[in-house]
Amino acid sequence: MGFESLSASMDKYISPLANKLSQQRHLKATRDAFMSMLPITLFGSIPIIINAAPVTDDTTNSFLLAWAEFANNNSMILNWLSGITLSAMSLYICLGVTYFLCRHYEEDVLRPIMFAITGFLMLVMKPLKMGWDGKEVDISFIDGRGILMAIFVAIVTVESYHWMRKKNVGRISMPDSVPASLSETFATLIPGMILLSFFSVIFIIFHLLETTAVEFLYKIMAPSFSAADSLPFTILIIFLVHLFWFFGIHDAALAGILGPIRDGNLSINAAEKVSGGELSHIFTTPFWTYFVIIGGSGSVLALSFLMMRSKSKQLRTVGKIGFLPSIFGISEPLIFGTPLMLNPIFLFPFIFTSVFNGIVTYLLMSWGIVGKTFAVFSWQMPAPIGAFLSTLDWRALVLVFVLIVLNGIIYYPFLKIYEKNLVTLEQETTE
Amino acid sequence: MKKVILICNAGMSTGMLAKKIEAASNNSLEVKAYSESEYKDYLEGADLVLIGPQIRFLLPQITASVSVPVEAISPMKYGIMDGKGVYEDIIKIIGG
Repeated sequence: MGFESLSASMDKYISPLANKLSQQRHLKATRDAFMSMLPITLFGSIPIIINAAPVTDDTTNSFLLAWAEFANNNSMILNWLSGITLSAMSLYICLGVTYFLCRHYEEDVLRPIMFAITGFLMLVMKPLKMGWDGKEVDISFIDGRGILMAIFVAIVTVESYHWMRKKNVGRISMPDSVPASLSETFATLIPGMILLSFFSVIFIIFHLLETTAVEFLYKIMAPSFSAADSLPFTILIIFLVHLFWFFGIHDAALAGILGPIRDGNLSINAAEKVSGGELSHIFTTPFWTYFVIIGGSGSVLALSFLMMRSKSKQLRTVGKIGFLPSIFGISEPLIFGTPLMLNPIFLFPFIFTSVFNGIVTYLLMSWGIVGKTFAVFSWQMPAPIGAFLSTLDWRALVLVFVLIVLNGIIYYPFLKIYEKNLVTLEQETTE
Repeated sequence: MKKVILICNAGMSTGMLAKKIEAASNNSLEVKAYSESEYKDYLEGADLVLIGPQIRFLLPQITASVSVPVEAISPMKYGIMDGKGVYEDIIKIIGG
């Protein structure tokens, strides 16, 4: 069997790759940090939606007008609520990566977090005016643009802290009679001073150059960020994630890389929405969860619906078990139960249904026919609702329903072939 | 009561399976699902660790970090959320 040997040899390469990617400690800590941040991004999405009343000059609906007036009167409060949560994403990422990396080393958590946050604030905030007459600071880079700096500071902090502790660099030992917590504080005194001095020196250098480290890094990285928001990149990533899933391997292996891109883009869009500007990014977390993978990886919502009425008992069973989870974006029952994984009949639709969704949505968003995303809810939010709330555009809702129908049409012929095989098999076994 | 820990990426779909296994065991087992980043905090008292097929490539690492048996759940049983089938597999490994 050509396919079996092909898939066996692919599996041989994909599994170790997935293993490497998902075990790499920095990628893993980054991924876990993004996953932990959900309550904050979700909370921060609400004031942005309230602030974005969908009114135009000729709106006469009194509810919408009242909504717009409320948003207008309270815009400072709403902006601040989202500004300190969703749009301060980098701060929480810095905290999260530090935490998970410390856990990886089974290292003390509190002090590295303190040092990392200090370092982050030092390199990301820009003092505009200093002195006794008050301090004015530009904090705007704590949004998605600061994510790389946040990850950098967290990694540098934990790695060097861990190294210094292991090598006993600057360890001040206290007599046994000193309480443990106090003696621990002394033990970390010099490593902490070294780290904070390091960040201070970086701050001073960039300050003398009349910029900040984060601004500098972002300017260097900006071209690759915009490359990561292009149609070819979108297609490539959807393809890779689904190739992994075709081998039954969770895309978490790639999430450490995708998190900063998807959530960073979203955070920038959110900040633009708040400031009333044009949204600049398409490839965001809600783009992915609500438009590309409708019903979970493989865009299986329509498929599970079709399977519920299949002639094959096996498919009917899996369809019924998988339909409800799929509404909430969980596709594992379908992937493993049908099975879609390593199933040559489904190789094409499994990968290309989501690619198709990605291309259609990307183009419609870039042509301005469907609104871009600026808010996110959990990935378990059913796709149509998530798509509407994250764009506040009714056309997004229509798009998702159209995509679900089209996904069903793409899957249908392949399902029929597979169903025929199964029905024959099921009849043979009962006879 | 024996304690079984299921691990998957986020603890989502395994969470559904955990409930079904518990039901199939007539509550003679305590089955809990955790994400791969937090399971280490909950290992105490566990008799068996099962991992979801989607993270089966982590089997070697998890086996190395745990002192009880570790097995990957069969994809098919996972897919149809076959609590009874997985329960029978569990009994084969750790006994009734």
